[in-house]
Amino acid sequence: MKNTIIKTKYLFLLSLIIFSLNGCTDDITDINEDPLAVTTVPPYLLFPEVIVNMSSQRVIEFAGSNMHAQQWAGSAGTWRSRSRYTLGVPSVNNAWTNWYTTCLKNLSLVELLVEKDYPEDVYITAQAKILEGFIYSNITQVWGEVPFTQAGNPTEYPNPEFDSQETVMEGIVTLMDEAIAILEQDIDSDIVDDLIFDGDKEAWIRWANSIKLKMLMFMANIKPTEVSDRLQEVANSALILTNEQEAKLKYSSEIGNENPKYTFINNYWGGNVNLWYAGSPLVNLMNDLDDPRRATYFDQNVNGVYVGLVQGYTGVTLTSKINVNNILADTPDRYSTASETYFLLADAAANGYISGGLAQANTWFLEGVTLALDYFDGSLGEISQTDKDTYIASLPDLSTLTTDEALDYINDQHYISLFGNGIEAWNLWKRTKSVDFDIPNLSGASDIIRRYTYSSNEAAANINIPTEVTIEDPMWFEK
Amino acid sequence: MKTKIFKLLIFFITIQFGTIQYIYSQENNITGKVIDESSIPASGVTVIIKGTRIGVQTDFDGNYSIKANQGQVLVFSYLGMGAEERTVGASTKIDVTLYEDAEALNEVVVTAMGIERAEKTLGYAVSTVKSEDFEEARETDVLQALQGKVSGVQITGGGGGVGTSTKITVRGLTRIFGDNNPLWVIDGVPISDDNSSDGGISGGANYGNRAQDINPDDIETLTVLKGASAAALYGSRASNGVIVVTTKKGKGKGATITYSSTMRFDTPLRLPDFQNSYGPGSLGVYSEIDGDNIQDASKGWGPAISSGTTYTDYAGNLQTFTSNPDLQKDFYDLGSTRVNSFSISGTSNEGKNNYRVSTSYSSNEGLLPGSSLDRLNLGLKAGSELSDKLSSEFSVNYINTGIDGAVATGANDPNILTSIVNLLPRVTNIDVFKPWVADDGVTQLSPVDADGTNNPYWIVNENQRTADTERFFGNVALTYSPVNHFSMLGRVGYDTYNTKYFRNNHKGTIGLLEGNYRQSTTSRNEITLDYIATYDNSFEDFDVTLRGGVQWNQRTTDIIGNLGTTLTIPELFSPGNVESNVPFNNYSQTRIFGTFGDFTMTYKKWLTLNATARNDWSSTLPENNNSYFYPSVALSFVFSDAFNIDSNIFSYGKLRTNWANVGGDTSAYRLDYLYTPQSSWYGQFSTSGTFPFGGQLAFSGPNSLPDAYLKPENQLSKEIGIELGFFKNRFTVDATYYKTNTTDQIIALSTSPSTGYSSAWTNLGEISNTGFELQLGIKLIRAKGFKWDLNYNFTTNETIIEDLGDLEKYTLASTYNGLTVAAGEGESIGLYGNRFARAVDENGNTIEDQILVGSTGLRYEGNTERLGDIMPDFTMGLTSVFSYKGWRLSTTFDWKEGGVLYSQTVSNLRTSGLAAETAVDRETLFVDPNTFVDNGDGTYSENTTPIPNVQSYWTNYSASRIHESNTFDATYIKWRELALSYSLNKNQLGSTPFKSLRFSLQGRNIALFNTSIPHIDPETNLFGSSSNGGGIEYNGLPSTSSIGFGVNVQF
Repeated sequence: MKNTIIKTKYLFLLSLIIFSLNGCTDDITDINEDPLAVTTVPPYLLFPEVIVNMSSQRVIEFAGSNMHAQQWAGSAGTWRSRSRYTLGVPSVNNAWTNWYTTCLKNLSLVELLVEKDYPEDVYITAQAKILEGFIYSNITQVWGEVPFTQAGNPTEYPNPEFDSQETVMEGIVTLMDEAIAILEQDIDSDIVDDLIFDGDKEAWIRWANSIKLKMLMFMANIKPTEVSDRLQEVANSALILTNEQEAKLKYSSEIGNENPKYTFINNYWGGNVNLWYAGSPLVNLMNDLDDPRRATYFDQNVNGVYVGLVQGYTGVTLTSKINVNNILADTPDRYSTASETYFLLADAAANGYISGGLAQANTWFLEGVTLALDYFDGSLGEISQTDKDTYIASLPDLSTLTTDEALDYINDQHYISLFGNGIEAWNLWKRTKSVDFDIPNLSGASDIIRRYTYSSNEAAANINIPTEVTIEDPMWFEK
Repeated sequence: MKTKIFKLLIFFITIQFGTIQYIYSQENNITGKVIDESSIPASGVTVIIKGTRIGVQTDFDGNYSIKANQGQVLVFSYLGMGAEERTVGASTKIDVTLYEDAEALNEVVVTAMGIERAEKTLGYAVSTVKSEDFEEARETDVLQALQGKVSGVQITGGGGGVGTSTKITVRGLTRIFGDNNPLWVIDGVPISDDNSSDGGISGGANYGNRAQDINPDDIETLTVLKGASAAALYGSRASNGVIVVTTKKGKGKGATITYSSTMRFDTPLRLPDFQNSYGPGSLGVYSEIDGDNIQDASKGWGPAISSGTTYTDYAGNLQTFTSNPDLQKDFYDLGSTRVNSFSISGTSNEGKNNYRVSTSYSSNEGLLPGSSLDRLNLGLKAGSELSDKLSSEFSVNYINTGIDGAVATGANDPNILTSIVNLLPRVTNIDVFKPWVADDGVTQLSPVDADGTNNPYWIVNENQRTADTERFFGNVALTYSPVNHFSMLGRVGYDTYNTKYFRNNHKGTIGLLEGNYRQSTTSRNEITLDYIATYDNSFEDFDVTLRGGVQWNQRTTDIIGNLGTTLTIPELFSPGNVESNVPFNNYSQTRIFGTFGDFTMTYKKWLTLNATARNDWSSTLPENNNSYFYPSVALSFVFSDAFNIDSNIFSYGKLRTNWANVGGDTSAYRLDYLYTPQSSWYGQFSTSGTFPFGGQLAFSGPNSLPDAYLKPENQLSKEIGIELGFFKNRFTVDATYYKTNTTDQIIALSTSPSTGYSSAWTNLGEISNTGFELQLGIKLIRAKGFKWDLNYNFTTNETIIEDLGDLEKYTLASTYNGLTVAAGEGESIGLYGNRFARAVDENGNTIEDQILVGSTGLRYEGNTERLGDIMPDFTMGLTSVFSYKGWRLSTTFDWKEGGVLYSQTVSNLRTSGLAAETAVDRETLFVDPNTFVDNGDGTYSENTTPIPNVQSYWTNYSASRIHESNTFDATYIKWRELALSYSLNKNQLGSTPFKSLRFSLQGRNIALFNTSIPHIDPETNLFGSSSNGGGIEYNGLPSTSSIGFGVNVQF
């Protein structure tokens, strides 16, 4: 009897264990769902992450590109290092990784999500393509040959090949064409929550054309005949032609939405400019031209004049600092400007890539200068009408000059207008070399920096990464 | 939850103490004295009347007194000694001499799941450290106390700083991703050893690892289960080895009160070797008229200090160059460590009930002004035999740890202190930085520069980094034996802690002038339920044990915090007082359910076969692939018993071998493709901003590509070992050879960022560990009360990455400037970084001894290549214990041979011209010896260009972008501990109320020898205990050396 009871007990226990075993293995799997994430989102919700991070790289991570463009000069610490071409791996890695993963990856997800869940909203796809093209334009201007055709596809291409700069730039033009084709369709698709153009479809078309114009101008430097037709075509298209139309990210004085350069000087220098000085080539050029924007760009030195610092040097007692009005909380990140459009068109016309010759070039040139001067209207750096008139009057009629002289004027004005847009100014120099740059003191360099070394993250994982690339290797588009 | 458990505890406490009874006895009073073979009185020897539960222990002088009848047999036993039996005759006095047991290895070891087994029957290697080893030179961190004492493990401290983590790996790295930390099991229940750090290599602070919560004074034994076979019952959590801690419980008759106190003083073990002859400036010049200023000037390349150059110091006063050789010493405080412990323990009811209550308070003041660690440990453990069939045991531990003033290490943060303090010009008087704050409370005085280098006193006084942890762990176990040979154990274990992290940058901190604060709480809990049924019987020559059980384990981690930026009122750290708040949270929950069986059969006490099997179901793996099976087999063969070999020379011999297959799962939520809302966007130089941006929210896809088809990892391990005893076991040898292969590791493979992902989850590769461990025990002298014991251990382990799939190289951890910890196929884990450029031959191969220089005669940066192994070739430890009468002198050394270490501190000191070697001769423009010039046509010629100046030579040679020159052989020998103690004997104690009284002098980390790395202590780890990185020092705080005294008293 007792034995039976014990046996029953065990049987009961055994069944209890088996029962709980079933229960336990069942509830094992269903807890593996992250309560703080979702498996799908409306595609446009990914844009802010892309745009704001992309700009943060341009504005602060690449603040050193203002030194590479020799418009600014760092007098000490990190900034002198940038002036001396000590890049620091963080800046090389952060931007590369951020642009490829945070930005480009999310843009490809936008396109996937549209296809999957929002097939009607193709304008969103067009937006994604334009942003993708713009980001690639930044990437290739910094690194030259970069993954493009095989990028963003980990399963098929775990080690993306590096495409030539030509391929990348052609690819960007194609992306713009595709985007424009979509946007020109008259369909029921909305552009919502648009941080750049407030949902203005035409503005996106204009920006796409402006990006295209810029890429074609880089290419024209090497293969003018192949691109001149396309340049002519884009010159006749809708482009960014007024300061109101420019493509930019608007920062604001709202906390957390400020321009990161402003946040930087606020964090380090109490809202003043400390180690950022005027770069010597820009100051010299503007002094020669008696440019009214000097007061906008720089502080006067103790003697009441504007003096620049040669890259890599330290004695700053008599040097002009960068004017803090250029680094305000709401100073925007300017992607594509109206003056840039006109300078590029003038350049194209003067070079004969497009029709109109020097006479047309002069018209566009003057439009460009005017827009560049007008840009500061209503801001702390506003230039008086008298100064504007005097300045414009002082410029020669380009049609009376040789092509080279005319180009020099165009590119100098273009260079001056890109103040604060380091990546654009640096690449304009690479394309045109209109200004004489200094090899920085104590940099160990024998030439001007042309590109950044590749990301060590990429180098560690991608067997196809080009080796033996130095920062002095010219870009494909350079003459 | 907590209150429920608390009620449960009250219930158990009640039943534990509610059943005390009294013994009655009327026999003769037998007295006597027990001594050991060296005529030392043996205290604590158990004297028990055979066949009863009646027993006593010898006192401090070896005397005992017990009531027994004639004809009864007294059994004298003591751990590690052979038991002696004496029949009670007419005499009432029985003196006994105990000898160290020829079979001293007959000890009981606590193995997986809390199962106790005789060491003799174990088919695998274990290392056990006993309570005495923790008491010698008391260390608040249990892992540090293991240094030099255990084979098969590698223990690396995290450098200076209070409460910094200590990393332990058992038998090498078995994984290249995820942690390699062993599982900690206390009294049968797993607890957390997570690394507690706040932030990564960018100015993160390390608050230690959670195993440091264990009170070393509570430890009875600590056993390292090294191989997978030993740990196989833990299934998927066994692959990194297991550390099994058994806490002390009450024993002996009546109650014992123990109090011990230790006080030690800490000083830096090693400070950099600075030059004291050159001031700030460049190329020997410092001139303020020409625009030089102390903030921007190079730190040590100026004119000779003796030149009498004047400068404006950080506070704005005009000064003349004067050397301040003790600049750093003056900055660091004298640290101190105080440990006070108190415990009451004992038994009642003929040993049927036992209890122990302990309290320990440790307080550690760090070298950094204002840094401290305070820890309170409360422990309660009790056991009770409730009836013949039912017994219970429970323990509760409460820990409260507070760390203040933890130090930021790494780079890219205004609070990295070491680089600031080390890199001050030698003319700096540290007092120039006092006061550090103006009367307004927010303006920093005397900052070091405008590029983010703050006044060091500002950092330690205004910017706090604290972590406060409240932890509770414990377990309740009931054992029920309804019939003979059969028992069932039910056990609930619970481990929970909350850590509150806080750090701030005070308004006025350069780099964050508006101030910010970050506050977060990490809550973690782990529940483990075990049911184990055991059948245990002997059939003639066979002893058989059969076990079956289930285990359910759940781990939940929840992190909630907020980053508030731009403070309005400077020291009010509230979300309402800041202009921007970025809240963050993180949650994960994982479960493992396992069933297991264990079969042990011993034949004639000399042949033991142990087989285990476990099946796990993990919540972290895909539903159709989440069940996996782990078997193990171990064999122990005591051939000295089998063949009856027992001579005076050869006393004991055992062979053991085992095979096991275990594995591992992964973390939660790695299978689905997830979109996560973003609360902030990234900006370099602390310029990150927040979403919503322009009113818009942001979402992002994952940075790591998930894999919906992950499968469990697999680890195969084989081991063979031998244990030998000679000369009556006065000389013992324990040697083990093992090999483990871990395949299909679940790793986040670093992918090319151009694929859109920084990493991708996958099963990949194979890693092998092959190693040899040796432990020698030598009882060198046993004469006239004089004893000298030596214990030596040796460990070598080679980790090889056998297979990386299509990968050429896998990166385990990375820092700045491309310095990484990585491994290629067929290689061990190494440090990779930039080397000097070297000549290449016609086949494109590097010519190792032809370093190239440029046109200026200076070396330049070449390719990124392997700089060396991060793992040592071998480690060994030697402990020596002398004792004579009441005196005892013990000391431990440990030696780590090989491996490399990159030092950012060395780079900083040399490039800034502050290291002593940079000041040797600044005039001679030498030609860098054995260097070559690239002729540009594939040929090279010997360099004849002298260096342009010594400053350029060093700034170039030691630049942080050239890792080769800052990487050194990491070999060192450390004199780890020394303790001299004296225990008073009974005569000396006389009529004092003390049962025992011991005084000691003790020192820890007394000296460093045989190291080729300059300026720093090579035992350091930037990455903390949870990363597989190693071999890199990055502005770490100096480690400490401490000397002090202690007292231990028992009532």
